[in-house]
Amino acid sequence: MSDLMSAPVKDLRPIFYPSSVAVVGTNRVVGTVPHDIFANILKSNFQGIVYPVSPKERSVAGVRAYKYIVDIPDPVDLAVLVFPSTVCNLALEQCGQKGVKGAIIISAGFREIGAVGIKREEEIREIARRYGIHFIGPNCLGVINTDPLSHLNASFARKMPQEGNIAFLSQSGALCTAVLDYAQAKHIGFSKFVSFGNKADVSEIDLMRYLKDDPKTKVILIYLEEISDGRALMETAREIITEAGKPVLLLKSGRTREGAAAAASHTGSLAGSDEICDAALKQAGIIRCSTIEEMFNNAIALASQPLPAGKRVAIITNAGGPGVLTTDAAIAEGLELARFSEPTLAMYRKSLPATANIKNPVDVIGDARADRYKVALGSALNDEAVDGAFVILTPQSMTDIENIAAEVCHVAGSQTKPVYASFMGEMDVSAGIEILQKHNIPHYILPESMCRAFARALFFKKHRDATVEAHIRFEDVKPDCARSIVREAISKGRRYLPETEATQILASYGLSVLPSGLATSKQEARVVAEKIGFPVVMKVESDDIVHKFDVQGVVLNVTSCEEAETAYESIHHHVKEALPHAVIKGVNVQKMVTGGEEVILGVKRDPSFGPVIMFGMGGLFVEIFKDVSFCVAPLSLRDADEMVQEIRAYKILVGARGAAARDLVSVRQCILRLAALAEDVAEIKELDINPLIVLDEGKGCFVADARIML
Amino acid sequence: MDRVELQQRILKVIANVLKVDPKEITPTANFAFDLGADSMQSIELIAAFEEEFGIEMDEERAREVQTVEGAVDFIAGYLK
Amino acid sequence: MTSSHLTEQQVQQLVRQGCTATDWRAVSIALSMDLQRFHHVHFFGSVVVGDLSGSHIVDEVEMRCGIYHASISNCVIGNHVRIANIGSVIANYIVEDDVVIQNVAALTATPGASFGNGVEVETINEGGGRTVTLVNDLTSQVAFVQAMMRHNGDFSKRLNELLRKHAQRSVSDRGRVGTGARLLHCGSIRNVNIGPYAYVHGARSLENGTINSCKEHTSEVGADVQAKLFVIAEGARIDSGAILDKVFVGQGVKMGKQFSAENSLFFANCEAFHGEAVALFAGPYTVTHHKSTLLIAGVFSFYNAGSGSNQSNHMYKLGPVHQGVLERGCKTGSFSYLLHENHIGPFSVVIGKHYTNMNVPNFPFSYIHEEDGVSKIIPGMNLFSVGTVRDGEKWPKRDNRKAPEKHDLIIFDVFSPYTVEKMRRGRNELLRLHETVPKDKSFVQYGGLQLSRLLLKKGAKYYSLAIDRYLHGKVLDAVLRHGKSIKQWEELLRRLKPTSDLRAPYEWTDISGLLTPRERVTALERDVASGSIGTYEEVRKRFQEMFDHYVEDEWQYVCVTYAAEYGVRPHEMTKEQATQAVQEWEKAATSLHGMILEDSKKEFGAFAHIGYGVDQSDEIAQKDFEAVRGTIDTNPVVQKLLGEGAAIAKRRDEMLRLIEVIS
Repeated sequence: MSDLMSAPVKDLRPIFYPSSVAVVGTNRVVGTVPHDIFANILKSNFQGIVYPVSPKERSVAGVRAYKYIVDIPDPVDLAVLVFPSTVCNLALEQCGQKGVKGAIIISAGFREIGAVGIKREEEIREIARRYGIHFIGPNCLGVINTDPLSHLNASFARKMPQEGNIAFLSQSGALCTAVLDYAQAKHIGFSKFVSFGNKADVSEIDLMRYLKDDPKTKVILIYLEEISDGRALMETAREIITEAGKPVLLLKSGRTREGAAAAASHTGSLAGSDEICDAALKQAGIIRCSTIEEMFNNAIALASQPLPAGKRVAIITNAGGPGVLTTDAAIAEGLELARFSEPTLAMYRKSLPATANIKNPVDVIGDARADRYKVALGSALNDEAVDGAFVILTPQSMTDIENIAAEVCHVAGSQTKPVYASFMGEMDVSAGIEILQKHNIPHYILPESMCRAFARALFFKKHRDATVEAHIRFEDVKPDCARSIVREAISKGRRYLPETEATQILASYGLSVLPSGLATSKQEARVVAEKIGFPVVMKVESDDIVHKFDVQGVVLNVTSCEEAETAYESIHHHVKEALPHAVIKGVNVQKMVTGGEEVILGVKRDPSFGPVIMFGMGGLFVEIFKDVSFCVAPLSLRDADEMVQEIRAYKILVGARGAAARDLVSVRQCILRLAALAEDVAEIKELDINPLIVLDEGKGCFVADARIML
Repeated sequence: MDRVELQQRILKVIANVLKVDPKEITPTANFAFDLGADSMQSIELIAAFEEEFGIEMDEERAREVQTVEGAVDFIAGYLK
Repeated sequence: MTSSHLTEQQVQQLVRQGCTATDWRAVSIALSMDLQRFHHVHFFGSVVVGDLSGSHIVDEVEMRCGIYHASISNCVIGNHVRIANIGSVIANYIVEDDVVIQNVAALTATPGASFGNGVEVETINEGGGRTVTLVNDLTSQVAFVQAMMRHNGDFSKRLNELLRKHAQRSVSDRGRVGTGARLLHCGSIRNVNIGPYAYVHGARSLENGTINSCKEHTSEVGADVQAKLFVIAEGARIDSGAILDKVFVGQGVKMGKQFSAENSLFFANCEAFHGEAVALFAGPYTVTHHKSTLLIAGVFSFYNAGSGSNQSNHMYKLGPVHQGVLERGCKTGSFSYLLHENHIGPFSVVIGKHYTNMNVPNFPFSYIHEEDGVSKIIPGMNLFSVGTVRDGEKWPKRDNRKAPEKHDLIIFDVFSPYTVEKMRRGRNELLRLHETVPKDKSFVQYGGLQLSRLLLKKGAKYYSLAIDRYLHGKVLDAVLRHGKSIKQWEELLRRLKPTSDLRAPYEWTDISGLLTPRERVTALERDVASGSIGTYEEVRKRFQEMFDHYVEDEWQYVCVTYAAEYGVRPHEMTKEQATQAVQEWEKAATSLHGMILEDSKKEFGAFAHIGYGVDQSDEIAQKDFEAVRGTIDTNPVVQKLLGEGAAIAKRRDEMLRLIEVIS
């Protein structure tokens, strides 16, 4: 468990529900930050008391001001610092003396400006630590709590957003204005809205943990520019999803530190930091979004509609085209079109015109008015074979959009299955959309977004309801053996472990390796080959060669002693030609296994998420096909199974075109053991097993080649 | 000029520019935190000191001075 | 296209397909035509139709060319055209090739219409007096001189005539829909010319105007737009409920989100969303993005209106006559308010609400704010603002005009003879004030604003720094540029001699984006008044010449000003003087840079990033969002600035080396 998780949950109540707030460093100049933050708290009907603290003003906005926070006679729960960064330390010190337990530091000029700022930030962290103050920021835009109990707007936003059950946490200030504008236009409300800036003390993890138990928050949205502690993020999210039943959506910009840049191994080059991030988030049950719009499209469904029990949807439409588009989109998102039961079909036959299409998607025809929508939607929702409904409307000249919208809201509100809507068209539909939004029916401009939101709701439900599985530990592994090999190499200044050492390490963790021996002369090659038994594979062994095939350092299918000698010589010859400076330790002679499937297994240590396991179809062209899956260690049985099932070539592994099924049980074991190895030996930076040869069911799998980067 | 006189004159200037009572200005007083100087007034202070003592100060370094006694030291350096 | 009158058989076929005609003999259709492509077409008067073979993709569906469910009166229709579902009629139009007109209520033209050309826009002064005549290729320069230069009656009269004559060329008995244009789902369109490849969709009503457009940069008029008496230039985008009445929309302008404008002009790259404009002259790069922002009776350019910015003018008995001029590069903060008449110098920032009339054109780069109801100005403060630096860099990058001919001539330089000369005047004025104002006064009133006495000298110093950096910098740039290819110092001096021969090199003016010596504009004025310039094209050509002369004119300014400031003429400099110049330049550049860096660190970072109401826009926030990558360990603006600091030292070395090398 990462450090952040074992620490107690930070008490953020003074920040979100203060009975009194002091704005420290405010002034009377309208239009500047120090003044406007104070004015905003005052204007937004804050339920507590707010004090201006200003060294020279007697009053600000008509409210009596104090020179220092310690001059305030009553207790103060929260301090909002708007002094220049150069004096925030003095201000915070006094806050501590006053007994303030929560702070929001708006001021910039800290870590983000370089060395001088880093020092300043360290100083305020130390002061906060000493007094037990938890603070948000510095360099942030503030905090909003729409709960009527508090109604705090300690932020730059001139207007409070409307109250809702969605919490929004952002690392970027620039995004916050755009988000508030966007949400307002769509009548989306927030429970809590936080811009956390430099997160010198309170981080997104702390905020998530707080929101987990916040009764006002049902959905958590996060915007991050970088993921500093991926493991903590995953663990926290898992907790929130499974224990509190709240979905977590993440919008992440750009890419994290480019660890994949000049990767030497296949795993290194395939495991781009964004691919890992994607896989890790998915593993944790976090819904990753690419745009603000997508994030809110998903959020409104999760916030305002019940979760679907399954993936069978009914589509109600008044025009064929959009119905087809929606069907396509639904299938693309893995949903199913519900097959109506006979009573439902009978009801449709009775109530809808003859020209209507009563099979899913239900086309109530262009001249449909509210009554037809009512029947179509109502009956569909009553049908046991339906888990949710999409209502589509395109404005025709007789379409009474507002009545239909009202009817949809009414029908949806009277039962427990999710209903989403898409009223298509630029002009006439806005009034109808407003009615939907006001009654918590999520509305989508595009059917694709609608179907994706539904699919995400299902994804969330799956993770929420999943039983927690233990992470597998092995008793029969030898971590000391592995570690000693690694440390030996490091002490000699080596960072690359070629096949022989790599396979030794893998063997110590119970992976099956093929019998092999290192030959340092062609005679020895002959002897070793004979001992192992033909056919054998012969490969050059050298610290300086990573891709053996590229330098013709591999000879397959050696079937006799003579061939062994020839192969030995030819390997030497080609390698010397290609890389004259390479130091050749010898030629590794290894038993050759045929008739198996080649898969690749790998490990990459991500700076943020820790060890990541990779699985996929192997071979020479692995980087071209890129058919791989990732999982962050530690793994459970289910994780390992899902990794295997996720790749496109899975169907080959279970037997296609008359071929037999492969031994996936042993593959799973390898994955789990590899994960254990990655966790136990921190020095392993990258690891490739390419190929791992998987034989038929019951026959096991073997490491045919491996290498490790330290 | 000795330090006491220097300090007196400096206090007078500060009181004038920041519109505070000179008795309220302690040597350790921080311009922003205790005397409420904003960034405009900081520049005005620099200009006022330059005028009072007939010197021209390195503005970048001058802006780093945060306290009254810091100002005394800084200006003293120009008067040597 | 070869078309011919219809045979009896053909007429019968058409009749069977629901078509009618007032006179079948007046209907001509291309010989090769497949008549199946005419259904329920009602021909009125003379109609000529080309070859309507082929199809177009409309609303994602492939639809055949032809005419379906439409009344057509007195039109000429080209090839590969699709016309369908016309509510009322298409009357008196020439429809060129590859056009689609579908689901449009009506498209009609009245003979003799002028299609927006010739419309008189009462800009700047609500009550009139600064009228600008709309023509298709109106430029910000022409509009500016027409509106602002009213002192010379002859000039005004002649110019007005030239414009009227030019506008007359658009008068026609028929409207025109250009090649490749699309008109879809619109309301009534009356007397509107539509340029090639224009995309008009969902417009509610358009009347008396022209939508210019070209293949390289198509114009778009979208949902719910209502416009009358207008001209739109190439590459403009207007949508989401914008309302226009007597408006010019320039090249690359973006407008929408219920923005409403009346008697206003918007030139290159302006952006207008959500707010309102009345009698607005928006020169290039004027940006207003926020609800409750009203821009009225003013001249702006390179301007950003913070959220809720507002102005008003006195309502005298004679009607509103006051106007505001915010020179290029100004910004008004969130919910700021200005009471016209005002004249504010370039690159100034106005924060807060002001109830005084300001007249400070010679204090560029100033910071104007309000404290306890008193309006105050800090001259030169904005020289260190990171925002100013950023703006200078961003405008040339954001020139999104793609049409082959760019109408508005724009000089982007933040520091130019225009601004530098203002700084010189400002500096002299500040020094004068400093001499005259008694020491016991803490402030002085000037131009309607309060200046702190202590900051007078500081302001002058800041201006000096910028002036030094500019003058030395320009001279050294020239030395570097020429010096690379010559070996003799004498030869270099020869190359540095100015080639312009202006009589008044100090007098410069900003003609809505074009910086040029005033005497050139006066010459234009004279030539128009006398009649030696007789056409609109010649007027534009003159402005183009001014633009082409900018570099030489600037150089002459630099030379005379350099001599005035430092007593040395650049083309008579010795090597020692050149070395001295390098040192002076470095000093000034480093000082200024240091202060900008300080400022960037001190400002409330997150707010600076979104400009806190001074530079706010969804687009910018979005771009910031996209641009932010990696860690936020260091503010990217600060990082960039640190790099620029190092570049100063490097340049100094380069220049010193070069001077060394030349014998």
